[in-house]
Amino acid sequence: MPQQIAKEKELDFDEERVIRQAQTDPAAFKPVYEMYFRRIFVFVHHRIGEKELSADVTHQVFLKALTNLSKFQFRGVPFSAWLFRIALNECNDYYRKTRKARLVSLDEKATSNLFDELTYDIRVDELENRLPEMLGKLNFNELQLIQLRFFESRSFKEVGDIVGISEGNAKVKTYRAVGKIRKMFLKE
Amino acid sequence: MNNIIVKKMQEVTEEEIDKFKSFDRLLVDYNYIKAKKGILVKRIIVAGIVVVTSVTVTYVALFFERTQVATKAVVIERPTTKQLNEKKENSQTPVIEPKKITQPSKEVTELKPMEPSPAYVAAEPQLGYPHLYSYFDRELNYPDIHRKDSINGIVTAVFVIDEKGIPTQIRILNSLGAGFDEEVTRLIAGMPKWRPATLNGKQVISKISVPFTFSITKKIK
Repeated sequence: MPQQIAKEKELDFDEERVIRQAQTDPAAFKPVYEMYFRRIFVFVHHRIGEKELSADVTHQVFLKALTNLSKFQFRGVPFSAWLFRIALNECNDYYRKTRKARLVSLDEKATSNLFDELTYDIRVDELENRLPEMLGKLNFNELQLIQLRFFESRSFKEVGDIVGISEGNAKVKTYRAVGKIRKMFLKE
Repeated sequence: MNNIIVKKMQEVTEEEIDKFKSFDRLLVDYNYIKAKKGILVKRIIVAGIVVVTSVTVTYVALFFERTQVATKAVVIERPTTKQLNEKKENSQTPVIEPKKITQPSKEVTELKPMEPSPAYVAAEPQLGYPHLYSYFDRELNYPDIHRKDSINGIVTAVFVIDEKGIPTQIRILNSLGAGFDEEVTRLIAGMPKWRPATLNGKQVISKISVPFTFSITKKIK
């Protein structure tokens, strides 16, 4: 089980109250913006790469969130997951419009997280060398789940909330993707 | 296969991220979008009202048009004596018996010799048109010489009512035969007196046109 890399900060304000207030007064959204800006920026940056571009996409994420804030309801899905879902959609929109190759950002911890789920017959350096090729063979949804779960160390509950599926479904689909990667390694 | 680029994760410091943070810019953009949406909504509402009004007007117009057509469609023309007779003739053997039809199918039309003015009073029978019609009905006979021919039709007579109310210049416009023309001329010459037309109180001549319908009535034995 991967370790939680970035622990969420404890909220130092009543998020629900602030969001309810911001639904009628946009200026009240400031604490939420301050709270989540860095996390959304990093999330986008891992997928877009360039800082300025990531800043623009992050701005769009918050603009869309503020514009559609009246539609948000506190019904099980945390506000943070709703924000990340918007961010994910914005990144997808960016690639759809620009038709550029998608960026997958990896670090040692990310590779290690995935390595734990694969087989011990493969050396880490071998995995690092061949992982780009294997990831390229996954479909878009599988790649997204692998990124969220292993490269960003999110819980299955959070993965499900962001992608818009149940926790159990997120778990099943993620391990199917892992199984696919394992097969590809063992075949070749 | 996905078109992807795998790169080593780039570290970004919190200071770098904070440089991009601007809540004021977010609010400005938010207000701009809201204003734009408001204008768009207004335009949609106006466009909707225009469309609804046009559609309503079109439907109302069509409705009235259909109503008029329907009204016209339910008018049933009264069958003529001729048509009724033909129906009866199909089932039973008729015996031809001449009968006069004297009622003029149209009202008397006046052809005025001069432009009518507000002071112009048209010529009319002294005892009124109903009395004149009953005279025609009573006196008009189907000519005996044409009885064997069974001719049915309309003879139009044109005549002038002079300043004294006497019919003159009797002409037959569409003749059915000499016997019919004579009969019509006889009737017009002997019809009740007319009150002449007046223009500004002065008696003037006026031209009158009267149609006479001749038909043979068939009786069932």
